[in-house]
Amino acid sequence: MALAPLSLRLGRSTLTLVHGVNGSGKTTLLRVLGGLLTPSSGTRVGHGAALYLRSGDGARRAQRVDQAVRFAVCLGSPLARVEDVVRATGLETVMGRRVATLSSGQRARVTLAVGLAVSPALLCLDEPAAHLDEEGIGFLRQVVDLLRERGSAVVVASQTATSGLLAGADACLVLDGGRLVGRA
Amino acid sequence: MQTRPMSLRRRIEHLVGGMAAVAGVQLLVLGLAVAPPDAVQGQPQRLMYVHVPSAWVAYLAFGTVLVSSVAYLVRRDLAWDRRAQAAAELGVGLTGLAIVLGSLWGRPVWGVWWTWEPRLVTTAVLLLTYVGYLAVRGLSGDAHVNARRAAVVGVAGFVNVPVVHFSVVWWRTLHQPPTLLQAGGDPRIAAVMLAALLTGVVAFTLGALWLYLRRLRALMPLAPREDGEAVPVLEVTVTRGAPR
Amino acid sequence: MSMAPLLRVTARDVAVEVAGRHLTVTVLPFVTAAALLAGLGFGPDPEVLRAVAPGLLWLLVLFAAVPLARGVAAADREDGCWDLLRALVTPTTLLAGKVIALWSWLLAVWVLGGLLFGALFGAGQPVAALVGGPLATFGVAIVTTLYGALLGARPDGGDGLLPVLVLPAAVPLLLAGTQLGSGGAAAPWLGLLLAYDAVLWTATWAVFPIVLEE
Repeated sequence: MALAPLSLRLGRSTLTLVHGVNGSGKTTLLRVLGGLLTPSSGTRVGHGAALYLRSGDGARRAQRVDQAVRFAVCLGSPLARVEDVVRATGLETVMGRRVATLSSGQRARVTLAVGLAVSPALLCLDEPAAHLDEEGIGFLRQVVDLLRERGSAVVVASQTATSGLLAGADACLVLDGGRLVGRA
Repeated sequence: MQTRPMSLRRRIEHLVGGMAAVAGVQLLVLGLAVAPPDAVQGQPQRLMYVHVPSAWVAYLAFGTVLVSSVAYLVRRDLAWDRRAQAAAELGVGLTGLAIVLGSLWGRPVWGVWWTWEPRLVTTAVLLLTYVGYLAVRGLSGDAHVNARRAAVVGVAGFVNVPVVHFSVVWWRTLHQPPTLLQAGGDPRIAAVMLAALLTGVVAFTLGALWLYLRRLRALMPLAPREDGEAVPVLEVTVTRGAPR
Repeated sequence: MSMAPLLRVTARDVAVEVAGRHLTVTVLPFVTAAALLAGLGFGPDPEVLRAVAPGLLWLLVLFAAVPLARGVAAADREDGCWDLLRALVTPTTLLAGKVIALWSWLLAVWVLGGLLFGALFGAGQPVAALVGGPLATFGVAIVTTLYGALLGARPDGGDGLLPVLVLPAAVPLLLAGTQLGSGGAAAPWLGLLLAYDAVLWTATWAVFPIVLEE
């Protein structure tokens, strides 16, 4: 998916929402922001680590939840505690279970746990609410707040406005056909 | 009707093609008529006038793949990737030809279609490596992904060739006296045979260059726009500052 | 290169493999079946079996490397973890962690194969072969990691090409391993293995950041 020219500046502790329908370029934009895609023209200047996660990503199916979170903690932010991350994402009851045995909603929370465990300077979450129920949306909001408190910039992409996050967002971008058609 | 003046590239292509044709005719005359049959190997020895040049030019082509692959990885210019692709296709074709000609020569001279002679084995390994090189080029719809993969294979594949050859030489010397590894025995070559061989090298080099230039020209219209799938201007900055 | 992240990556891959049981359920039974079939195909003359055992052992190691290559990148990509690995560790750390994990599986294949050929074919292992085995399997691990990452990191990778790419590069390892197992002159072949491992590691380390690009 090609993106039209655009310029973004993301401050620390900010939340940016990116909306758009399927094929609008949200994933491409987030992967560029996350440092996974290199723009063929233009620059990406980042201060600190960036991480891109799609809902369900971040853990091998054969891993236990606590193993996946511990791996992210050890490599991402060694001062964090696995138990705190698990509690913040409501995964206490499934800590010892293998990821393959979890529901899609639980796996989506594991993704949030991994993102929180790493606490990068920039976290890009692609459709994090896709499989989350109301309780899960609450954990998503909590994770975003915790990350912002730690100084992380968070970018969340979704097809529709995630009501739980809209109120606290610093910016809202709307993409259509790779083009930035709205900014608030 | 006004015709477009021929570009310099097309002129060079025609010139090289003409020179290759002339050298090819000279090779035919020297190789088939002027040079005498080998005292030991007989008429099959004449296959050497094409077998050796095809192998030599194949190695030259693979060297071109290496240089072009490194250049692509440094410059990320798809023009270098096209050069590498054209050279690899040429190299694979010539390597296959060299192996077939070697077998055709080996059958009457050694009595077998194949021997585990180091140069043959190394050539076969090269063939397999660069068949793999060409195969990885077609996996993705993204030209730069294909180019990157191919360049990695092109560099890594070339690096291990000297070690492959050396290890096979060692292996063979352990299991067969060195004298039996020489083809035909007497290493001295008559002047007219040498002339035929060198003419073959020149003819094959020029012919390969002509094919290479034509293939490059054919690849150019197929090359995707360099910015076709690009993500254009983007400036993203995560600023320093106090957390909330 | 810091050791802690390297150990984490290796430990993670080992733990996932143990839990997933791909090696024990797929690869090791393949080695066992192949050894039995080879005995039927080349036997029953004990002299012939002893003569072919060293070469067969290394062929098995090379063939086992192909399915094991999935663990380098393809399995991580399918589980949505390849991007995480690329973000969390340096290319050198990721390469080293993956190579060491894969090396441990190849060593397991080599050990099992050696035991089977010793028992079924009556083929012992000279001391030099016991030194050469880890060296040669290390080289196979490097080559398999390079091409496993090159092809497995994207869904359009074409895993079927792995044998075409890995096997030619492993020719020196096959020859050295076989000659050492046959009781040939040890020092030159061990020297070759050391040199080739160094060449492979250097070349792979140099190109690995490019392999990791999107």
